[in-house]
Amino acid sequence: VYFGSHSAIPPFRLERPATVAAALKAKAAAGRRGAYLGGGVDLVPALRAGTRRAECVIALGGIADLAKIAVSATAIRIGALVTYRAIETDRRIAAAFPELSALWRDVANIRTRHAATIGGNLMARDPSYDLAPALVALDAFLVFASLKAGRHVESAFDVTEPPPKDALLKAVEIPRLAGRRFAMDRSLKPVVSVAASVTPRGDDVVVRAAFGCAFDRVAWGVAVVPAGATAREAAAKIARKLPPARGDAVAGAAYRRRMAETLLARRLVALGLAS
Amino acid sequence: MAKREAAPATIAIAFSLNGEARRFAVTPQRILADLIRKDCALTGTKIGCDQAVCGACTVLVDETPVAACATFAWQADGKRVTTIEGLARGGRLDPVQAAFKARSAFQCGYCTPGMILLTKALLDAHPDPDRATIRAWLSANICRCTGYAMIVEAVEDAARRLREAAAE
Repeated sequence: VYFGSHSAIPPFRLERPATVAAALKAKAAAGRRGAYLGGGVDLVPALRAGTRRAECVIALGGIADLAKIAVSATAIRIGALVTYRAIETDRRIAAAFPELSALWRDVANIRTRHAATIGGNLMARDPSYDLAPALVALDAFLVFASLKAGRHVESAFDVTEPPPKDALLKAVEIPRLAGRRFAMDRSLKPVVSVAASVTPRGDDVVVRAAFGCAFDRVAWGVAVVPAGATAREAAAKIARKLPPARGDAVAGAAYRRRMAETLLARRLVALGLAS
Repeated sequence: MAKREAAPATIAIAFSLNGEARRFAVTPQRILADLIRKDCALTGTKIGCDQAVCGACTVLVDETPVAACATFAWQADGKRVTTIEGLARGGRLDPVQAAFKARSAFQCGYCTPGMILLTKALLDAHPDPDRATIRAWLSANICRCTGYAMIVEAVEDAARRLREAAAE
């Protein structure tokens, strides 16, 4: 009688650090054979499928620091272990970024949202995942911890930069800017997804846009346009600087490129630019 | 300091399984679904896709729906785990189970334990859910037989039964 899983996970050593410094030391000792575990949504199936191998799994769940949310007048800092469900339901996040909270109700399914963490989403570095484009559009940065003389120190990195070696993603920091509005369109996934923000600056408007699915990695652009500019003009200005899109069985490169610009223009209309 | 276990050493864990305190020695790679099905012989927790997608393996950990096929057993340490076998009390079906039965909300039944446990979590969070909320939650679990209509009706029926029981 068959009772168990279809495939077994190879044995590994388990580390359960209680601090960021202990996690970094465990990762440094394990090197490339070590893997951080947050919610496990990506890692566990990957270990089972054999697409990831780990001789040491470093479970981060015991590090309370990584699950904190802190709001100040200028920014909101969201710990790497904060779940999708918290993005959706936490009142502080909803107050600071209501569009992000509302968007996250439709990302993945309820069971995944309870387990999945923002750190796992970002460190998977999958261009079809939604958080990186959203954060790029919101001008966020990532806070990594690394070891220095036995203690952990923090450094800020752009969302799209490769993660520093053996560093641990500690948090995401999103600046709070007066008048900034944000929107994301996921309706054409897996062809393309578009995240955009619009921020007034004097007589101009700063448009930031980022694109998932359509490129090998999250692509993004910024345009400063006069307040009266049309959404189509702003979208074209950003789209001109995009790298070549991916072409595959899902969609051709030209279609993806075209729809990236079209969806961006639609989102910008929703954000108040002239149609 | 980090707790360190050298493979293939086992880890001692303890959790409440359907209200009963249980202790186990598990390897780090032991999956919760396998522990429940093999070691505890509770085969109501089904394994479908084995990739945390289909929802057949859904159990409740501290009342939260979890894919047992993608959860290590040690992650349940110190928590409350509820499987489909833990719902009926004194020979009486849980109101959610009773609603699924009354509405014939299953055909082959393979997805039903996961559907019922997901519904328990849904009705904990939303005692009077609208259809959009029900459909959004149920999208986490896949049924290839029923077409979902009777499952949605069963969730509404279960919500009604629970509200009536709470009002008594």
